[in-house]
Amino acid sequence: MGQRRPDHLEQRTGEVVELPAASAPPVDVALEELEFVYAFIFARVGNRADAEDLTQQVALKAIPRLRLGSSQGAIRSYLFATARSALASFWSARFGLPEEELREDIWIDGGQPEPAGESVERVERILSQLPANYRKLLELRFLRGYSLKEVAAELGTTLGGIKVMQLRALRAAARVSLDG
Amino acid sequence: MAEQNEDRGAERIDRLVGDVLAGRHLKATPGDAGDREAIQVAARLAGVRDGYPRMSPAFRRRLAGLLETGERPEWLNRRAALAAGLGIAAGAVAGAAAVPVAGRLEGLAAARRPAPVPTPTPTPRPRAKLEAPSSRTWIEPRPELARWTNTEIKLADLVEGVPRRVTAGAIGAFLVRRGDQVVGMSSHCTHLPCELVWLGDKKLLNCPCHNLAFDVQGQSMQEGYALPALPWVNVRVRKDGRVEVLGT
Repeated sequence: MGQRRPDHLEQRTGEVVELPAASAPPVDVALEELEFVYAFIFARVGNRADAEDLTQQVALKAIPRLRLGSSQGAIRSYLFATARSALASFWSARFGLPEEELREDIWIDGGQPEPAGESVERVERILSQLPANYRKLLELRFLRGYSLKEVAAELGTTLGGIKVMQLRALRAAARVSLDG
Repeated sequence: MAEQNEDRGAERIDRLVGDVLAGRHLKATPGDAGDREAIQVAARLAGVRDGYPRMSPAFRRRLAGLLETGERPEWLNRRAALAAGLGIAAGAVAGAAAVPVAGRLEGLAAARRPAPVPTPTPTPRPRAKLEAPSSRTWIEPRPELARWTNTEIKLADLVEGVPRRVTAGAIGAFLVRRGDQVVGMSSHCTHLPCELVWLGDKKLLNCPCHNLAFDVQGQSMQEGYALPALPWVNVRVRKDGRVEVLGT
């Protein structure tokens, strides 16, 4: 019933060793929770450097305040509330705008982490509402990793032209996302 | 004039986009606030290009150090510390958080592995298809060290197409049920020796080190250059239905 075994092992019965019960140390479990947080933040800032900075901020702020016996749901809610606050501060510092204004931002909101795929679906929804040339540009540049020069060659335009088109496409995508 | 302004704005946005796509910090300033939504959309688009965003092993190790000691590590940057309300100059981080925090984290015991934000798989640019060697290797512990390890997992407990990770001494393996049989394959990526993670929603084994994937048969899902398949691990099913793995 099993898989093929090499001949020299066929006759050996071997010693049966019990595996230890699987129980991850608390730090490992906390790291796994922070993986959720990292993915949540990465989906909003789009780069590893800022995602790592913000995740470590969340860890520093949230972990010492965790209490024994808290439910997993409560802990996760706390981590994500902290993550949203960190994101609001991040965008506030970048744009010189009050955090309160950014807390309502569509990219930060949400009481709980998004279900798997929702982030992608949201982006797909936005792209699907754009004119074909804008959609193609953004797909090539952001989802397929083309350089701007390669995008220009693909769309048959100049580098300067494609930069302007990229700006317009992003503005159009922002309008769609705000309307949606 | 408006055209010149648009050209300047386009140049500026492209520099920001280039940084983000290269994994560097977003260097937006208050001068960019007028295009805030466009920049945030760019960040969001960049954020879905990575199929399985997970912390890098190096960052994860550093974070583990922070969690284990509760002390401010060398790698902690000033911005993060300030944002976290911690006083570096006064040494307040080490002082206030000197008590290891591990004991305070027990409430997390029931946590599960994160479900990473999935993305549409980008269509790769055409490339020459290079096939990996077709022969699949076996993990054979040295005879003097080899011994069968009872996983306590019954064949009946395994769900078709859903790997279960087990360890047998130094050998890490995934058990996969195929009808009334079970096969074992290495739980380590064949590119770098990183532990693979099963992503149930994607039905694949993901390598967190380089974001590569293997299917449930252990075959590389990498476009272009396919990695070698995961080596087989010797398994057998006892009369009582429990699965054993040849480990060390």
